[in-house]
Amino acid sequence: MSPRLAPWLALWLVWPLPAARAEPPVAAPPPVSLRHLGPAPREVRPGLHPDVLLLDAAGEPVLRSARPVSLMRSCGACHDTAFIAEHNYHSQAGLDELGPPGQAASGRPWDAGPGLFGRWDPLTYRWLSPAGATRPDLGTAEWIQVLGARHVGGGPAERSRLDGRPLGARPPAGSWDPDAHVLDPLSQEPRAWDWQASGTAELDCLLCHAARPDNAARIQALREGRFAWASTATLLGTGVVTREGAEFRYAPEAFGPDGRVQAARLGLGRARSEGCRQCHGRACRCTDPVLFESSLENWSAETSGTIFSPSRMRLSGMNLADKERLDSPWDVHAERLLGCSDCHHAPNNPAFDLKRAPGEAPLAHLSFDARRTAIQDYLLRPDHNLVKGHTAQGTAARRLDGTMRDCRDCHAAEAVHDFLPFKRVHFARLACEACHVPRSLAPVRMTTDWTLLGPDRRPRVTHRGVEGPVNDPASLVTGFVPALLPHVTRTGAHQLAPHNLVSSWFWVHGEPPAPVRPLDLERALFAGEGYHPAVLAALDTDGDGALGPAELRLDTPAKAATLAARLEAQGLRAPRIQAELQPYAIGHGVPAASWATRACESCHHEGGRVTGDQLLAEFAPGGVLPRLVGDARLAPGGEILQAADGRVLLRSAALPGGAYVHGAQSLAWLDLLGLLVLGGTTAGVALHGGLRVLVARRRRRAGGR
Amino acid sequence: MSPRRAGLAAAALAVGLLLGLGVWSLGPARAELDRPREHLRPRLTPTDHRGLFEGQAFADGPSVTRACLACHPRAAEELMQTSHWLWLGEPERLPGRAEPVRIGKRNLLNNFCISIEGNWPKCTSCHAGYGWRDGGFDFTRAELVDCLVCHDRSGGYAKGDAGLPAAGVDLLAAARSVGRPSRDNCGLCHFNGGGGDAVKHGDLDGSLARPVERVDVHMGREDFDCTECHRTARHRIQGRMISVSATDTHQFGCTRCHAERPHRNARLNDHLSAVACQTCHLPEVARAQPTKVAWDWSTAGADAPGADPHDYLKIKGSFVYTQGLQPEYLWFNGDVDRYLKGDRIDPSGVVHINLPRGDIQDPRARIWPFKVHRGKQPFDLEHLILLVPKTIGPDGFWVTFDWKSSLALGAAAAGLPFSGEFGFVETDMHWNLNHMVAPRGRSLQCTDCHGEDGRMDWRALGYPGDPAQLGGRLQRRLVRAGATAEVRP
Amino acid sequence: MAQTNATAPQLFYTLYERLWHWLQALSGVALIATGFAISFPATFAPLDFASAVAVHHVAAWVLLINAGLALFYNLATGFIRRYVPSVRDVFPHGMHHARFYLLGIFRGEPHPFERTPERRLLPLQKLTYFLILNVLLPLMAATGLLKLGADSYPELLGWFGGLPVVAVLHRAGAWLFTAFLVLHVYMTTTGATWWANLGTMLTGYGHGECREEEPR
Repeated sequence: MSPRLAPWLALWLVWPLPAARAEPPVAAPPPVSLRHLGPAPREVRPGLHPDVLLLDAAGEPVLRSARPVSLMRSCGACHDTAFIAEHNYHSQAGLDELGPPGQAASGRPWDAGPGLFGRWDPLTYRWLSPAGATRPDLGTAEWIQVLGARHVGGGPAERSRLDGRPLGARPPAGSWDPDAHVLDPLSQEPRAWDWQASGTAELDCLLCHAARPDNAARIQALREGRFAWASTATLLGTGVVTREGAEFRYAPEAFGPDGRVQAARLGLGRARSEGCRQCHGRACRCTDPVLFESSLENWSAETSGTIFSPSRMRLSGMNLADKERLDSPWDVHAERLLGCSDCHHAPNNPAFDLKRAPGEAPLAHLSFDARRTAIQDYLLRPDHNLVKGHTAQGTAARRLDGTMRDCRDCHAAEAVHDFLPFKRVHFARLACEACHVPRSLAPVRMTTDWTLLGPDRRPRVTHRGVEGPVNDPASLVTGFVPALLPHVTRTGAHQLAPHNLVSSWFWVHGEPPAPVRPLDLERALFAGEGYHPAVLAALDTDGDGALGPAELRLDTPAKAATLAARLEAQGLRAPRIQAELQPYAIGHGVPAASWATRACESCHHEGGRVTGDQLLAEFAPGGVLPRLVGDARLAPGGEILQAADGRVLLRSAALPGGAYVHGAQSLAWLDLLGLLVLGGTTAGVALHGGLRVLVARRRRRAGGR
Repeated sequence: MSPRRAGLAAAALAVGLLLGLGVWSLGPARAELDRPREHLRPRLTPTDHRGLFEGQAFADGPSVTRACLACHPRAAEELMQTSHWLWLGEPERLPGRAEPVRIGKRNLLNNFCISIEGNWPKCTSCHAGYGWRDGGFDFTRAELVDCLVCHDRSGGYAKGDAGLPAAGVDLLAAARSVGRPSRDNCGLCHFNGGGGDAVKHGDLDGSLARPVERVDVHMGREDFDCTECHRTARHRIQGRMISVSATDTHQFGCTRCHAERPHRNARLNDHLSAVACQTCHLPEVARAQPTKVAWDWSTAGADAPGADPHDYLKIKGSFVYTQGLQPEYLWFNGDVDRYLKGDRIDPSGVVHINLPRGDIQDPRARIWPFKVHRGKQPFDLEHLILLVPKTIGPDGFWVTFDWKSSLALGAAAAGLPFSGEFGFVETDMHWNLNHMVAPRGRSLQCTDCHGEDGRMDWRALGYPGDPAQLGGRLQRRLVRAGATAEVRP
Repeated sequence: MAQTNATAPQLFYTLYERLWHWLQALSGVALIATGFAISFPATFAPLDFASAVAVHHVAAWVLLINAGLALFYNLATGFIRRYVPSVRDVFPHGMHHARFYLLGIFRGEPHPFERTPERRLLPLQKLTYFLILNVLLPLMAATGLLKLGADSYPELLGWFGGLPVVAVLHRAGAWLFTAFLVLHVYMTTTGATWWANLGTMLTGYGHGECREEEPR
């Protein structure tokens, strides 16, 4: 080795050493050795519910039979589950209100009833097809798969609409028997559903009455067609059931020596708001900061802007305009510790006295009636026809509308509105929410356009209250001012109440009309992966071979005709575009009282909330203007028109005949007459005076007086 | 009645009616419930000292003080009667003790550095005086008062051991800069208690020097000096802290400026009979910097190179720091059960250095937020008293790491017996929180205390259950009869 | 040529009558202005809506009470006679009067009717005021009171057709009253000089146009 190289070589050998020396192994410092590093842990009191035996449908303990849990049997050991399932509009979902097609209150010829089971909804777009339908969409089994996610089970998920017998008991009848058939997506022909394999979906008590139900697992089980296992899937996460591959296994360690499961493990107890949120909104803990996601899983927020959260708006994770000033909680009732079931309670809950209906005048001689149902009777047969309000969109079980206490059944409105002139007139004409929900800061659905599908096979959807794409965190949420519409109350009076107006456009075909099925629409629009050439030709205005958002609009008759032709090519007769307007009443999301409207000019002003135009859509696909659904419970009136720039507007809906709002309306004929009289008088006076001045001046010049 | 008279009468009536209707129609103005700004006192412009002391050179602290006293002759003697000088309070009768005692930082133990006795030079670097380096400090010499620590506005004044000015401090510049005390003056000592910024109080730290509104609404948005609330007349500074005081005489509260029932919501005002203002308006402390919540002396003395000083220091032991500390809530009527030097302890449990007095039945008590500092410190196995280690100096623990000798020396300095056998006992200390008031939009909401995820342990507080469901202590008749004290908060 | 009366000016309007008149005028103008502000807030808003409503209510009560007291005064003193028109006031006096305004006033003719403190209302005035005081004012008062009482007596309002009827009548009357105001202010300029009548209503003293004979 060259002597000159050696030092360099030595350096090569030596250099790791300093590095090695630089980091001696660090001894972990001794930790704090205190036994108490915080306040004494809180006493945890065991709940009242006894430990439960989980049974299957035959009454055998599931640990032994390894069959799906039957909550009707298990809970039915102590509670009258048959009573509960029957007196339960969440479960019945309109099954007990079905009628012949064409007679539904909604006014749609293809609706069979008012509930989730029977009333078509343009937001979900799937159609529960009646017997004998030539182009059927959903049979009962697929209804459970697709729409059962927002259904608690039981009712139509268990029993036939025709005879009330369990589904699958009757053999298929005819080419399309909705109870027995589903549409095969590949062959697009009806296929019999194997009810023996799937079982039926029972009413799932745990969805509301357990602490942490696994709703996602339940929905997945329903989607997979394993209806009988849906209730069992709800138990995933409690440790009672585990999933191994596709199978559900009961964990023996979760069961006590007597075969019972601890109630504390299941968290059994009263229904909490978290339970309701699984279908009506997000599932969350009340104290989580609000992170909004617009989707149909957040149904109440999407349709009516409801965010029932106690936290302050400025502490949310949403990009709200002027956020630093938004000190108010999303909903002041949620902040004040109210849960859903404090207002939407069981009618025979002994904590509430419903012997007199809300709003009914009390007996003159009795201010408080102490007689109550005994708790044990209530727990045996809790009436699950929960008291409900009175809204445009709550179409099921309308016979129960108005059983819930109204704002003024708790709030002494008379005592705190002294600043308001004519307060009783205002109370009679306005719903409380009209002033107390002046603005909603959640983006809400505005239009759903099913006349075209995007490349993602989804409809075109627009939202109010947000600048930019709705689920983009960078979009600015500005919120919207709800439309005040004359809601027809229980007593028949008209009250202006805030609503969100959702318009939908869709194709119908045939006579009597039925909505075009999604698969027919897809076949008409697409050829393979991309759009059908005829569709592209008609819509691709910039010729780039793809259809962007600006091109996915049927804004000319020619485009609509092209689509209609494509649908006819699928065999649909007389395809035409129909549009409807569905109002969603806003009753939740009441902010702090300081937000309530106090400025008279909000309504007493031309162009104010009462007479201003409401935007329904930026354009009308196919030039079709929407019509109000038949069961919206609004007083007739108002005009839906299209402005010169194509925007679809609702005008003068808030003032049906018989209403007068000072400062908001112009009585054109009267004011014209009055102006004529006044103008004429002024002109005459000016003329007369002018003439006198002239004459006097002339006389003075002629020689004076 | 003649037409004229009738007419006049009618006219007068009409005019009167007009005026009356006008006044009535204006209606009661929406009363402003809370008008705290009316209680602010105008800030006086201090005399500019910049042109003074021409030709003078100050060799040491006392020479500055003598110069001050030339024009402010009574200033020193005023301060010398207060606890900032004496580090003792007035003689007081404490509950459960026969004789009145005079207690203060001079003679009390805590569970941070434990006691100043034996450790004077270092601890007294925050004394408002010069030269307290041992137990023989002369508290009667006026020239030993340190005027500059509170009145220096140059920002360049610092103190070292025994309270003497730190090396390199320009005393002349400091003297020329004097003015009204600012947050920096008070904070020089009060932010750095316990050996560093933010260690001790939790609600007092360096972030309050230039706070934003979010950190403290009074000092941030309104730019309050400490003296805005801690009003001072003749150098007698208002306010007490339960770390060194046991009662709340000379105390003040929020209601000095804020209305007694300041909320628009009647239900919130009803909370005031049981809940202190601070409870809702101080949702957390140590917002900007972590504060120490645990200090275990028993692990001190081990070598742990590379350890984070927030976790462990060889001289002090192991710590736990928390930022955004959520307070603990206890009933508090203004008094505490103070552990005094020489009190017997029960080593099997936790020794409470200053447990707040009051309970649900006490009409004077309210629920207050506290920072609880938990510690483990030495005690005498035979005498069952808390011991005082000598940490400072060449024979202190911080040099020798010999507990036995340090405790012996400390016991001698403190006048305590020491058997030679020592152990470590868990202690806790309560610090009631008053600073870092959150702006209105960030106060606690109903769901923060009530409801399933609430902060309050209702059973521990003596309630049968959540008062939102079962009613408060007045409705449940849990309060003893007796006059409620003035709403102290 | 008009012969001016060389005698001393006479007391036409007592202090009370003047005070009453001007208070009525003030409250009337306030009512009209705030009424327009309430009905057309987008075009005319000197005050915010709530204040306009409040002022309108106050002015309404002032006007009503003022009018009520004046009624009492006129009844008690018997002066109410002055306001009651007779058939002669319509025909032929009214015709003469109208012809004067349409023709004679341009020709410099003397005023056909003498005004004295006892006979202070000219024929057309009597007619107009009769309609105002017995039709329009009661209509406005009644509809206005019904609207004021909408909170406390909603059934009463409903009996008359509710707000759509009552408010429309009130609004129609408002237009008429505004036109009357314009006309009335102008007509006061038809005295000996254009400010003569105004002065009389301010000071109380004025000159009646003296004539040799009584008009038939």
